[in-house]
Amino acid sequence: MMRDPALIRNFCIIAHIDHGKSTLADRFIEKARVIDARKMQDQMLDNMDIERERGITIKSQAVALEYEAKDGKTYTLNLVDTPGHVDFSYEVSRAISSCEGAILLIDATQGVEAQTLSNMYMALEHDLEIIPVINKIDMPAADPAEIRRQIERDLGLDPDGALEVSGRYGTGVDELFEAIVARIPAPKGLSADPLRALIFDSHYDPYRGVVVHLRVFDGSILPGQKIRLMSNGAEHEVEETGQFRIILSKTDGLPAGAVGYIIAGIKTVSDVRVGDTVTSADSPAAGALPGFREVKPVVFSSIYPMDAADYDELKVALEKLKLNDASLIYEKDNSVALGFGFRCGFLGLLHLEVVQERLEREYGQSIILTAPSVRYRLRLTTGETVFVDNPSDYPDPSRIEEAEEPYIKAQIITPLAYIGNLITLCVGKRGVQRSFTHLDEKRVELVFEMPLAEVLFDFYDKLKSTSRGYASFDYDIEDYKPTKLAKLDILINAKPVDAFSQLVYEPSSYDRAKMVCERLSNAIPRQQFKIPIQGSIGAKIIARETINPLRKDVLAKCYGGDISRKRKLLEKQKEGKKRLKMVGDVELPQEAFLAVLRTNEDDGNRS
Amino acid sequence: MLLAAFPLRLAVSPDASAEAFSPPSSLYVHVPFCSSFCRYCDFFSLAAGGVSAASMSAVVDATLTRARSLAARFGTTTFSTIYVGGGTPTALPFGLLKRLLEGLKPLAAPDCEWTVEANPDSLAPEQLELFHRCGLTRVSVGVQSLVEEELILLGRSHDAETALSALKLCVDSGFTTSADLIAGIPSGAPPDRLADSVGRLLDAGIHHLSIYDLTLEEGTPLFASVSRGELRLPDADRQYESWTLARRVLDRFGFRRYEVSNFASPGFECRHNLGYWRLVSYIGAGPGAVSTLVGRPGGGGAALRIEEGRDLPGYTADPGVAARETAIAPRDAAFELIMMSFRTIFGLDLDDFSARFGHEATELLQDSFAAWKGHLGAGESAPTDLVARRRLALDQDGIDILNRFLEACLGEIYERYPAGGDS
Ligand SMILES: Nc1nc2c(ncn2[C@@H]2O[C@H](COP(=O)(O)OP(=O)(O)OP(=O)(O)O)[C@@H](O)[C@H]2O)c(=O)[nH]1
Ligand SMILES: [Mg+2]
Repeated sequence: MMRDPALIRNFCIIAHIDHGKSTLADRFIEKARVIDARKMQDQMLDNMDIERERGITIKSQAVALEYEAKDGKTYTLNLVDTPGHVDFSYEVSRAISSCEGAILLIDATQGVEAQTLSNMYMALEHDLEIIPVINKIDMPAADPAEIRRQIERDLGLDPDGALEVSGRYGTGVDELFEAIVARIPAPKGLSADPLRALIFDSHYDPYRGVVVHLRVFDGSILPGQKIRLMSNGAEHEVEETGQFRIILSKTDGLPAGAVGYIIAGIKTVSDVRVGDTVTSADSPAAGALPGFREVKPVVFSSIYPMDAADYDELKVALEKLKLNDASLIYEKDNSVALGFGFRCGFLGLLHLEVVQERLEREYGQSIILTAPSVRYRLRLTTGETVFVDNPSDYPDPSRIEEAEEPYIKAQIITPLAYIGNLITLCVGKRGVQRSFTHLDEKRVELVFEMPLAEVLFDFYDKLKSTSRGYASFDYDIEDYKPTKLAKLDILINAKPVDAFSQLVYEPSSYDRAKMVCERLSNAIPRQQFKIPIQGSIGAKIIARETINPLRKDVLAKCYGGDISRKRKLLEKQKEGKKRLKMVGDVELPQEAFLAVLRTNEDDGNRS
Repeated sequence: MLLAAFPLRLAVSPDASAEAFSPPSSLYVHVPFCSSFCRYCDFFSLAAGGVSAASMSAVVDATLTRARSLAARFGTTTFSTIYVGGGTPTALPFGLLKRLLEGLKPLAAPDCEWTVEANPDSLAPEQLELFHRCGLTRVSVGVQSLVEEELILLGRSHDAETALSALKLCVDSGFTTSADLIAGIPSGAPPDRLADSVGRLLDAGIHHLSIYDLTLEEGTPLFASVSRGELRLPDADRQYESWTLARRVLDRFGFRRYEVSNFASPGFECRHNLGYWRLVSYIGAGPGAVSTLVGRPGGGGAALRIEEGRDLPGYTADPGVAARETAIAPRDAAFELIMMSFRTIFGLDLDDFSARFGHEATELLQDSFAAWKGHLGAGESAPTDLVARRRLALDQDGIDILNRFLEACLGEIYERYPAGGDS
């Protein structure tokens, strides 16, 4: 039976990265016996390969728990685990829109950090009831009393309302369950009203089409019902409704207040837009729900299929990925070297990497990405203002009156010991210090104004290594400021390869050109002829490397006992060559593109 | 172990299908024992000290029986080339070596080129006498290097002087004498060191020389040293330099490079190995040896490969049961012929190719041949040619980058070779 909305609680767990959200979610899942104890694993909800490998949450994930409270009633608790990394804050914002309450988790050894604050503000904007929870109290370095002081001073919340838990050992989780039932309001909507449900996510199932993840605000959804998507008027019949219980679990309907999914035979992926409102086709609601704030990508890069013939396949893959990653923005692009592809906007570098990996792994695409760029603002001699993030759109320099680039306000919270090195790092990245605040005896907040482009390029890695992982970093895009911009072109065997072009801060262009040429010369295998690699600005060559010709293979013996092995070896090599891209008469491996894309300065492996 | 593309277990002889294959004219005999292990080698061999005389003797007997039975099965009574390799054949106790060679003697045709591999430190005058008595014609000595540090690094048990005097002994005893050298040893030696070794070998009067680049095989001690960063392989430019210097010395002595890694005074090319590079039928007997039986002209081109078992007790019990037989589909066999043929300056015999496969190589590989036309020519006529043949061969620079050429051929032949057939 559909549960009475008074017995539903919708809440999300929000926090800074690594404060233990997914681990706490495990305890909820375990105590509510959502799945067999034997099937439990750590960070159960981090089910994507990339999440498990990197040990971070990338996607918000909902799960419905049945909980019998001390008052004797059974409640449906919809928990949404959210990511903590700043690149995925769009995931957090959508989770927040589907909940009435939030558990704000704070690591008892780390205290309040950048994303603790920004996620809390997001929850407050949506009038969510916030329960501050101090986590990891089992750790020897835990200092709950200090965290309570921070909750009061830095967050402005009532420290007496804070609970103490250990997500790892389950300490305090029973009390937390009760606090959720008691303190988080039940959803307000009425099942009798016209249907309005907010699409907060979706995914594509090859057999059943689009699975729409939604939160019912008013009215209810039943199988067999005709629904309408309010943004485009598309109508579909509901085949199945259900809840997220690790697996999709069928229900006989979704009442007002519920979080769940519907399957409605939607095969046209582009019909579904996250943020859209689902209503009933027969008695539609008057107006749509507010939806989500617009995504503002800050990093841009083009994605091309390794084999130009796979363009259509890549297009379908992107459409499907977009269903499950609403923050991905793309449009058609093309390159002389690589053919047709897509210009994509990302919320950050990690987001870019995740999109790349998901396209490769989940959708089997073999792709090439161009160097990431920010979006520049150019005032032309005609008085016109244009935005350019794609080097191929960069106008002739004589037409540019003034160039501007986006600046950020970077907020770094760090233990005292690292400030010297961190300031040096930021100044080296053209940063200007705005403020320096002692948060307490041990921690400082540094605020810098710096170009976003510098953050894209080898900033995170350096920040982490400089502070041995202790500094936290958050930023807001501020304003555009004047800059000196140049377009760096890369020529391979005397031909410019547009996919390698990049927009750079002119004073650093020599260094950048040199580095790109060096990396390319290391990443491109020797070929039968000599290959010059040059960096140029306009007609001026500013860097040069040469790849010597391959003159000799390894001289290996091959007698009667080696024939099968040798043939198979050649077959394998040949297979490997499928991942080469012919640009002019030069074979470029995918590593060449990665070498240009890679944004850290040293040549070591990326972590 | 390699998995065959088309595993197929054929019945052991008597076997009607044996007639589909050209009768083998070459015999390889593998002796899987060494007196010591080299730090770079992953070849199949066992320490002679760790194997009892009785089981060595059993292996020798099983190998002889096996050679005879394979010869009979595929319709050959005597072979025009025999090659006894290893391992180190001379690591066998004298009596056993004698039994082996005397046992093989009836299988040698009158003008047989008969080679044995030897290690410099296990070569004694009475062995050379034995070779003479049995009718051997060639001795191939594994020298590897004449630089002492390199010999130590490779884990070889001899020094440079021992190697040179062993070679002189062979030359003076009237054998066609061949030596092996390894290039690219991570010893930090200057690039002219290889040329130096080559010069000293040629001065000693040898007729034939093989030079291989060191390939690091996983699992060998040398591989481990390099992966741990204790040793560094010379870079490609340095290797090329040392190779070029060595080639100059070989030219000076009138040695011709007739295959990727092999040089000889004209007329002293190894006929046995030329057989592999023309992919003729050959028999391999002894643990770990390989036989290939190629299709008769007009027969569609399928080949048969037999890999002998490596486990000694299994081998001595019944080599036939321990062997694995794999059918090679015509397309794969065609590629193998190309892969082997273009290793030599004699190149591919176009008439032989079309006779075996019923297709013209120049059609199957038209794009690759066109793309490589700068390196392709009519080739030298081969020592085995009785009449003029239509040939296509790579020039010396082309042979240096053979793998590139073969990759192109592989892609094209797999696309163009008609599907279906008998596999
Ligand atoms: N000792 C201890 N460790 C914990 C506790 N909770 C989480 N951890 C550890 O903290 C690390 C991060 O935990 P997660 O649950 O992945 O953190 P998260 O907040 O979900 O991280 P993101 O999703 O990436 O933002 C893991 O190594 C956990 O094992 C706890 O209560 N005690
Ligand atoms: Mg998590």
